[in-house]
Amino acid sequence: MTDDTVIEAPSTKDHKLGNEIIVCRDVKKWFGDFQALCGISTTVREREVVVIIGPSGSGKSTFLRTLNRLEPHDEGTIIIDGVELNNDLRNVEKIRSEVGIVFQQFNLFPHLTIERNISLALTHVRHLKKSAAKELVVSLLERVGIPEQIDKYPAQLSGGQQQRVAIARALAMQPKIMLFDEPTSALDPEMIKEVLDVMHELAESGMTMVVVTHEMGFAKGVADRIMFMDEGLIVEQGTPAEFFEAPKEDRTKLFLSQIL
Amino acid sequence: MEVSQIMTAASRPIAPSLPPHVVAYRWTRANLFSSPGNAVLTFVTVVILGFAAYQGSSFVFATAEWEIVETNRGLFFTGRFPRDEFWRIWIALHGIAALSGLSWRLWGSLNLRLPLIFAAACVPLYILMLEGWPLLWTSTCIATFGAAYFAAWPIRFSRFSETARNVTVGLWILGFAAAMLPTALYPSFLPGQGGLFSHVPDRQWGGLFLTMVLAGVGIGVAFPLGILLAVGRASTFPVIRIFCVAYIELIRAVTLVTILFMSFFILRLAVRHETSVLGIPITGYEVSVVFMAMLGLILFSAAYIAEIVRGGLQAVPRGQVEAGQALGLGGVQVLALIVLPQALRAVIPALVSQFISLFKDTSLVFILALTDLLAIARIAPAQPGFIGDHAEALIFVALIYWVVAFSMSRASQQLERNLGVGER
Repeated sequence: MTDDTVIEAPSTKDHKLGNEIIVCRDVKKWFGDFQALCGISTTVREREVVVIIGPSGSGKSTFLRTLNRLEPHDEGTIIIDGVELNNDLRNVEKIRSEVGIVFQQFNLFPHLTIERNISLALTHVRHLKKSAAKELVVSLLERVGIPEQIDKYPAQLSGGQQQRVAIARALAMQPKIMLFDEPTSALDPEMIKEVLDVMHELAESGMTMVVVTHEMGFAKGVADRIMFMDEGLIVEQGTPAEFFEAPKEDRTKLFLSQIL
Repeated sequence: MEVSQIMTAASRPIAPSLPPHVVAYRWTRANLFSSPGNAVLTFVTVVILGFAAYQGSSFVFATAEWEIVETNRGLFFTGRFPRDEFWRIWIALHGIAALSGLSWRLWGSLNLRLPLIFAAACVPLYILMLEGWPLLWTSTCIATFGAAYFAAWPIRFSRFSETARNVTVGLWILGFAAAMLPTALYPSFLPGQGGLFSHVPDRQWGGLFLTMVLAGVGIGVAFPLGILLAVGRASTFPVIRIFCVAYIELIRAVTLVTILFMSFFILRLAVRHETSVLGIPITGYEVSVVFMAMLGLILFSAAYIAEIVRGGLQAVPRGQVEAGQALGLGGVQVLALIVLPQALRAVIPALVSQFISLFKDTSLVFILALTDLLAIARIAPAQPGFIGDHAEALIFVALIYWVVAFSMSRASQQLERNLGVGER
């Protein structure tokens, strides 16, 4: 399946997709002898929400992490907002400050208050004054629905609250793209919804998002495109309707039959 | 009050309404005489402890001749430091007292029980040591401490507390750099005579003063150096990593005594002979023995501190680094803002053990013929009139070592509590 068919596919949202903001060509990645990515080519357009699904070990998290170079790719090209990701540290730091990521394990800084967790990069990367940073922190915490937690430490919050702080922390840098690496997999079931709600709201606001998740409800309801990966390759992709109702590949059908 | 607290805590099943003597009876029965074997053990232990307490107190209060300490207090505290220059040390002590008072109020425990125990342990020192000028100066030191403590009283819980803490840390570092380092380097780098300050040869430094200078500078320099070595050992640059590994493993394979000997005799010989490059003398300096001892202690401790810090670095999850990188923070920022604060707080107990160890290791400088606190305790009983009063001198010195080591230990526990180790 080529990218063109995807882009021509009717969007489930009324907003229009913009220019290509992520361009990947034949991205390959090895861990020692094991090839994790076997040539990924795809593009993501502004305001598009792409959900990547696939069995564990399929390379979906690895692919996501190559997009802000937490995992350097070995071959191929990745261009984010017109800047190529390579060994040039200036490019990497520029892209990282424009691409937010939310991790499965939250990765909040346990020694800092919620306020400092969110404002750290504002004061040290964006060089904002403390007062300006604090204003932004307050508005972000209001956006994710937990402004009263500003002076607490991460360990004092529930998992769902921590993940919402992690989203606020990534949003603080005003990223053009948000990456989500299984953001609800480490959460207790009753906390999953509060995080998905925040992500849903974010998608509605027009954020470009690439999401690795097992939440099929979220994928069906929010995604513009589902991308199914297995063994380091994109097996099949399409709109949620196409993908869930009429999968073309046998592997996709097998996977869907196992999870649905 | 305290005894009953311990008992209720130890005998939870007993209802709190029981009269205290019943609680005490049941506690004793349950904990000391629960079986015939335990009863015998309790009895034997009580006899041994009682005998030791009786012997100890009869020595301390009856047999011991404490004149050796009273007469030689100058020696114990400063060695052969000239009396006319004592004011320098007193000025430094007043600065330390002021900063300590400030720090205690800004960080310290609000619980007064331990400070009182601590003060009680200091009383014998105070009574034995003081009359005349030292009494006056010590009193003004305590007054300075109190004044700083109460001056900082309203700040602790105000919105300026963070600023005040930062300023205090800055003052400590500044004071340390301004007082300790030049003092330490003075004999080797500044002209000896004339000017505002007359030269006090470092051979005349001694006693508690020398011990504290060695330990203070030792800890103050070895700690950052150890951090650098630990970070270097984790570096991705092979040259830096190999250098750090080689340094750490080499130093840890050598005894401190060897290093002290090496740093003094070999380095001293190396720079002593007149050598000049392009007419500029690069050697020919008379190197300070105190500086060399300090260098040896620093080089030695830094290797151990590096390994402790490395343990802390490994305890910080990889995800913390990734989260920092993903926000666009640079490598140094990730290290300084995210990794090191977590790594160091994870190893506070081990670090403080190392600091206490360094403090006690300073007594080894006697092999360079320096007269530190312990060396004075060995010299003093050789004086006519005090021949054989070894126990008195050693007990007194032991008390000082205990007071210092115990305060370091308490300070570290308070630090852990303030940082919320184990809770965050």
